[in-house]
Amino acid sequence: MKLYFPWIVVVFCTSVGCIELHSVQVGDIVGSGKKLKVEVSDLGIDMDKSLKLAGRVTNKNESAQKLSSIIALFQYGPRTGNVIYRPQIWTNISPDLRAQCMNGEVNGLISTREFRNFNFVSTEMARVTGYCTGE
Amino acid sequence: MRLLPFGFLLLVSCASLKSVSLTSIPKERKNKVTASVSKWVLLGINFDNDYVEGLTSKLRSDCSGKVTGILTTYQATSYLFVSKHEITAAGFCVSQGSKSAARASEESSEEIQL
Repeated sequence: MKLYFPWIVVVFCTSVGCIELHSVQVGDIVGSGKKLKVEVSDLGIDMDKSLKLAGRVTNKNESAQKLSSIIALFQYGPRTGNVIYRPQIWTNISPDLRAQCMNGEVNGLISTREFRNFNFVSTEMARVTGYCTGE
Repeated sequence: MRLLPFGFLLLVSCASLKSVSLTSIPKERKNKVTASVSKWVLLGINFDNDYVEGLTSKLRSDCSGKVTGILTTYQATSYLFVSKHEITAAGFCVSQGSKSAARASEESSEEIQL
């Protein structure tokens, strides 16, 4: 049981998707009003784990390791979560919030950066909640 | 006696600061408001972060005016099997009446200068 216990946690988190909070930011609060919420997410891929899995499946571990090393050369540096391939989707957050509060003031913003882990893939999320006052 | 190292391990914790942010600090800094929300997570198994949303309502309940100059810190304290995720927000409560009055006096002083 001792040997299997960490694997039980790994399998559980992989199948269900454990969520991790990377950062939180709270903005100035003016007053209460209509609650606003915008959630943007993208698929993140852990290339190292994915290639290892592909290597095992196709029985080409060495080639997968080489490819993983080459990819690692241009995916280094600090980051939160896995790499994504559509970075422009985060720019929709501000227009989406403004669209929900056309004539009022958006305040009391809580911005969170979250990561839902499914082992070699993940959901990279940004969530913003706030209030619309004076509409 | 054998359980002493285990008990020690249970008490020892490592804290890590995950994020910090600050908004613009007001001139009026008399009324400080603080709020914090936290969640205990067992073995890193966590399915939502909805507890964060209670932060603004907690801050607003302590202040009838505007809350500004908010310093937000998000820290995680890890124990042997569990970790505590805590978000603290501390800001200043500025009464909106006094601010509008101050703005009006500033505008009138600008008019006098002109």
